[in-house]
Amino acid sequence: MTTLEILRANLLSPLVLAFVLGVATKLMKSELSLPKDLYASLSIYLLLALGLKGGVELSQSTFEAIAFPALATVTLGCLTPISAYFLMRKLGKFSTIDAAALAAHYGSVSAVTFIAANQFVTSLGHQAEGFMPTLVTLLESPGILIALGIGAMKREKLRSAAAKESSTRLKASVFHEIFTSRSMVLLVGGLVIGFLAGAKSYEPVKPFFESGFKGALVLFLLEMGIVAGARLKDLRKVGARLISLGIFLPILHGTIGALLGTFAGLSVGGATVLGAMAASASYIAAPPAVRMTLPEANPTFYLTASLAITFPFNLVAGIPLYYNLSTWLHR
Amino acid sequence: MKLANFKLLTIICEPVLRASVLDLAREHGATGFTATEVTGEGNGEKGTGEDREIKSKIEIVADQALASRLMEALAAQFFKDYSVITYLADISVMRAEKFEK
Repeated sequence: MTTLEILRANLLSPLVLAFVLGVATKLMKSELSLPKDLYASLSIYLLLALGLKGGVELSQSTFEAIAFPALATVTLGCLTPISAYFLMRKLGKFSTIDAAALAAHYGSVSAVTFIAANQFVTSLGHQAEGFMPTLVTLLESPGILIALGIGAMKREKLRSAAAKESSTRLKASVFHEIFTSRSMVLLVGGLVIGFLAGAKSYEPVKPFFESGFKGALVLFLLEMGIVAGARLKDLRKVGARLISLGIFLPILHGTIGALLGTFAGLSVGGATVLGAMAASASYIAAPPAVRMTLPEANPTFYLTASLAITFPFNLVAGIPLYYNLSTWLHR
Repeated sequence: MKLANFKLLTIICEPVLRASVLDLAREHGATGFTATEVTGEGNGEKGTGEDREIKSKIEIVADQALASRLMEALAAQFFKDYSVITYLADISVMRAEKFEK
């Protein structure tokens, strides 16, 4: 398949089209939106299904197979918030606090981007390693913590310079927030259940979690499109700098991810998915943690960047790009 | 029927603040609260981490002293960086002892 054919196939997949429909819905000012509880239920279903399947496959993988990819993932988790912070500071000219807030989002991972990348490689006849969901849980927290740490440090400096009230350390509640966030509990919980239950006892519940998965994902992406569409009008507010960085950062992180994944021994599918994970920006776990820890940061910047710029970019062009790169690296 | 005069303190804030506001209320001695999810818009929208329209509305029955302390504490902690409004109304309640610690 040529690059163009891959792009075309991706653009015409139900996932991407549902997302486009969501955006169009918002642009047409239609009143359509998924009921909030359905959106929450869908995300619970998708994340738990992902965890369960990953757990079952984890129970069948060896430690040797997963050790290097896990190491690569943790490296990515520590690297991406720092690169995002410096790029946002130097190229984006954002304040220290805004740059740290953005870095928390780019350092973490978007579960939907991960799922979409998995579907993408599967549709091209590749298979990402079964333990990939385990890697998502490894990538989720370090990025947020490192970036919030940078932000808290900078904040402390600013405050002591102004001789104002002291101590804005990362509060215990933020750790609690990150480790007990919906996606962490469901993913880790699903992994543990799947791992303990094993393939045989997973069999009876498998139809519920696997046959409906892709359909649920289509519905979820429709809502994601609506949410992203609602943010489109903020694109003008955030300016060309953030828009360009919102595209450049995923390409940079995706490239590093695909490279590290390949070196760690992942297949073409696995390296593509790891690239997409590194390239993605969180919009579930990171926003509330950032809002609590760095309240001075402007939410319009980080929400617009992760939802209206980076997520659509990865979905439409990023994932095929990381796939091409991984295929090339595996030659 | 015996009624006692109290204040109804209402706080409308970003959902992300809900837990912190309730902690603060408990620290200051509030005996209970009612919280609902509401939608709305204000002029000084600072932009929240969540859905723009959704806000948390927290209502607390308090005596004048508690209500004043709590409002000051809320103002000091949250007014600068978050979207929050608070207001007080006079109310009459039955069973005043329910609201006294």
